[in-house]
Parts: sequence; structure tokens; C-alpha cells
Amino acid sequence: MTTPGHNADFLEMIRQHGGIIHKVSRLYRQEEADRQDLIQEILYQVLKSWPQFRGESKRTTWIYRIALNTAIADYRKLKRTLPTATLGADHPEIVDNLYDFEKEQQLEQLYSAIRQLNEIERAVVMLYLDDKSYEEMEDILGINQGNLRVKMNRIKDKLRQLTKAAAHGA
Amino acid sequence: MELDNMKKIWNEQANAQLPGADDDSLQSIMRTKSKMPLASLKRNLLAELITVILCYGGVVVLFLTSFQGSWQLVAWAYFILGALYLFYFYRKYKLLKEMDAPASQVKVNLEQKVKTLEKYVNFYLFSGTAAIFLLLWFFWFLLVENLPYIGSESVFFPSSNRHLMSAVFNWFLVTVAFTLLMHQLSKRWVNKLYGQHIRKLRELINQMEEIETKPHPDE
Repeated sequence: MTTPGHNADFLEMIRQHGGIIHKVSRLYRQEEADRQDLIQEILYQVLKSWPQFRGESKRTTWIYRIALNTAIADYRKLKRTLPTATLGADHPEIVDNLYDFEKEQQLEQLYSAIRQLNEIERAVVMLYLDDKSYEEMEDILGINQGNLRVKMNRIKDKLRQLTKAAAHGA
Repeated sequence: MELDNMKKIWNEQANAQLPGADDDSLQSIMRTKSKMPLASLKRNLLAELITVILCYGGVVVLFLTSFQGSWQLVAWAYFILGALYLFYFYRKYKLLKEMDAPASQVKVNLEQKVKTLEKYVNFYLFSGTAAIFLLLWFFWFLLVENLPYIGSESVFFPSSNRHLMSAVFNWFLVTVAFTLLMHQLSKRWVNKLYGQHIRKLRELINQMEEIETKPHPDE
């Protein structure tokens, strides 16, 4: 399926943009084992589609699409459904050493709030937080910009309330 | 937490990297099987193809070479069924390939998946129903041809005191009733297999198009 040259390019791309896959897995799967499964599945899909990548869209756009399609569209029942404590325990191996516990706690609060949104809203908010323009969001999601703006306004309100509630509950 | 603060927290995780992105891990990823529903469908279809080739092939050889050639009709019937199955396999595999578009826009991908999955399910349902109807007639014809004395035992077969058309009509009623019953059962089975998945995909499209019937409690 791939040649060594392809592999080198692919590895370089994953090194540069692997954070997208990490974020998608954390947004769409709560359990650590499910996240690892999703990361592996996304990498599989990206590697499988890599020979067909023609550069018609940006690499990041292409990875966002594959990651989100894998997380959202290829819906399947998750075997592990019991929630477990995840605060501060996510991917300890990929968190930078200098990254302190308090920040991780805040980040987890943010992730927990976003996970309460529906699947599509999660994708929109992730792209927003990643500073993507509405044009890029449209290119990735296929939702027109007008609709995206309306959604984003609603999501902002929801997130404010959710994070406020989480902070009071914490 | 305000949105500016959210962005700040979010962007501070930018240095998060995927562990083990090296050549070995790539090879190991490619050795694993995809666990997505689409990949399972493809694997199941290929397993079905192999099973059909082995079983039908065995039946064809058996009936061609045994029983002093008196049941060769069965062999040819299975040969035709096998050829029809190949068409069925090709159509289903083509639909599965159409469903596999991970690099397209999320909405386009969802719409394509729903559309193709519905075609897939309808084709599955239609083929199953048609196969039951044809098989019932095939076995009727086989019995009439090879066991002519069976007519005296049953109203479904012609005999010296039962006209062919009368037997055909009786058997037709049975085949229609049985086919309709099996069609209903197949519908339930197909709904159990794919219904939840199709409903979920539709719900996602509705979320994208903002056709939400229930307003969010915060709104």
C-alpha cells in the first residue's frame, strides 16, 4: 500500500499534525481504551488514504476530515460505557513535562464541557478553538458559513454555561 | 470560563504529540484490521463469497458426478444461482466501496453513507425475497420432474386427476404467502442489523442542517 518514501512523508505529516488526531480522540471518546482504538483507527484511515492525497486541499484540512469522519460517521456501539474518573489522567505520556497539573485540570474541564455537546457541535467548536476560519470550517464540515456562524453563537452560550456549571461543581 | 480563556487553555496543549509515530508503529497499524462497521461489512461479504463458492461448488460437482446423472438439473440450478450470487456480490461490494470516502467533507460523507447504506439494505432485502420465491419454484419444478408420482400425495403437484394449472395455482398461493412472511421477517432482521446505524447517521445530518425538533434546555 505504501512505499518507504510515502512512509517518510507520512511520518513527517503525523509528527506535524498528530495533535489533531489526539484532540479528536479526546473529544469523541471518554474512555482511555476507546481513545487509543480511535487513534489507531484514524491513523489506519489516514495511512490508507495517503496514496490518494493529491494536495487539492491543505494537509490539515485533509486530516481534520478523515479524523472527524472516522470519529463521527463510522459510528458504532462502544463496548465500554461505564464512565471512570479521567481528570488529569489523560494521555500522561503525551503531555509535555512542563505542562502542569492545574492546566491539565482546566483543559479536562474544557474537554468535559465540549463532550456534552452533540457530535457536530464538538467538531465546530474544535475548529473554532483551533483558530480555523469559517471558510476552512465549511471546507472540512460541508456546512455553509451562515449556518456555522449561527451554530457557533449557540455553542458559545452553551459552553459558557457548561464551564460555569463545571467550575461551580468542581 | 470565558471563550478567550478557553482558547488559551486549548492552544497550550498544542505541543501534545502522538506517541510512537515511527516506521515500526506504522507497520503494526497496517497489520491490524479496521474495526469500523464498513470494514466489518466488507470482511463479512468476502467470507460469504468464499462460503458460497465452496458450498455451491461442492453441490455442483456432487450432482454432476453422482446419482448416475439423474439429478444434473440440480447442479445446473446451483450453477445459475452461483452466477446470480456473483452479481449480488459485485453489486454489494461496489456499494460498500462507494461508502468508503473518509477524506470527503463530513456532511458529504454522512449523506453518501446514508444514501448508499439504504441502497445496500434495499438490495439485500429485494435479493433475499426474490431468492426465496425462485427457490420455492425451483424445488417444485425439480420434484415434478424427478418424482412424478408425488402428485397423488399432494394438491400442489399435477397428477392424472389434477390439472397442471390447478397445481400451479395452489403452489403459487403457498409461495406468495411464504415469500411475504419471509419478507417481513427479513425486514425486521435488516432493521435490527442496520436500522440503528442508519438512524444515527440521519440524526447527525439533522444536527448539521439544524433540523432539531427539541430545543436545547438552555435556549
